[in-house]
Amino acid sequence: MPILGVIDSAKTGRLANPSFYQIATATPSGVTNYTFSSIPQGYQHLQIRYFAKDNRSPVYSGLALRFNGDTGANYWYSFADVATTQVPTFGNYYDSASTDAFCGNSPGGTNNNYWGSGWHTIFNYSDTSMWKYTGGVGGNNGVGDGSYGGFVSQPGNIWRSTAAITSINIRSNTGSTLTAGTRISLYGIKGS
Amino acid sequence: MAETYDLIQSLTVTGSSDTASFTSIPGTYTDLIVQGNFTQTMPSASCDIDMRFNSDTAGNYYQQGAGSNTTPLFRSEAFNGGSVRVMGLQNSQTTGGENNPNFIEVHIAEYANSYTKNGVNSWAYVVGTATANVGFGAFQWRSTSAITRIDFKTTNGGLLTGTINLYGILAGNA
Repeated sequence: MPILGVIDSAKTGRLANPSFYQIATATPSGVTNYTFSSIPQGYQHLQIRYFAKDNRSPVYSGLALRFNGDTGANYWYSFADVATTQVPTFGNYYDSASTDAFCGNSPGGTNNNYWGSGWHTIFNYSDTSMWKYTGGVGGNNGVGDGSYGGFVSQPGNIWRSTAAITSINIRSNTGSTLTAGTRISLYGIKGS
Repeated sequence: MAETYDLIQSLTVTGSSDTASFTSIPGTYTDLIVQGNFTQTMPSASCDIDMRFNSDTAGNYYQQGAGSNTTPLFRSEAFNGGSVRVMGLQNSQTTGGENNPNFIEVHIAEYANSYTKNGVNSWAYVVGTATANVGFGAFQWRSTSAITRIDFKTTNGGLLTGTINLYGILAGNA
């Protein structure tokens, strides 16, 4: 991971010790979810980067995560969000017994002018001595009917499992169908 | 495994301009990330940092942000105008001095595709010993043009000092 204020920052090109690696990219369309399977071990952390929307009637929507096929109430999410049309504008959501983790916001609707984007890091995914912690930022401006409205959140999650993560299912959190143009990429981040 | 997260350009600004610009950005990556670590010299009045793409100053930018501040403790702002506010929120303040560095991080997804351009940003700064501000936001530039230029500019003339780096991330498979 590049470091802020690197001394030799005038250089361009790859840094001397690259630590960010492509693992897989998916462009799911017409389905409600996609699974990255057989995730290689050997990185320190994982990061999901997304550009997405689903076909839900034009309202806010979002992406959720499940690990290793676990559909039990083993996920603990908490996130602060702010939305243009939400009352009150600030929201604070919390569920200690969820069946999935929250990844980030994306809009609903079929209008291709409105997309959500964000990043989400899964820390120490191979460490079998601890529960798994994740966090990121995601949001969108405008929903599928062209109405103005922004939505951004900063979620944090715990998956109460010490198992190494070998698969990640990313899904519309409303069960809607991901639309063409959606792109979800998985990266590995190496530690020192 | 394919490596990515390449440094595209690095800007070192030395307090002689209120603007820092990345130009001739190649369209060969999937996402862009900007990380900045800088101060700005705004002696008294409030001063935020704006971001613009391809020199577009028209009202094509939409943003929803959230942040903490001293007063009020929480602040949100929905913003539509001629820029993205990447440091501070509309009408909030940044008065960082030399001992009060500002940090920004901007993620721009699919910056070269044919859709509108979307991203998320976050920031943090401290002013003196009593005021701190952290926040995050989502923004949209309602243009289908590939982003080839990014300008960062203080909102009322503060001069920038520090380093701003532009990175490219390529999506792909191992």
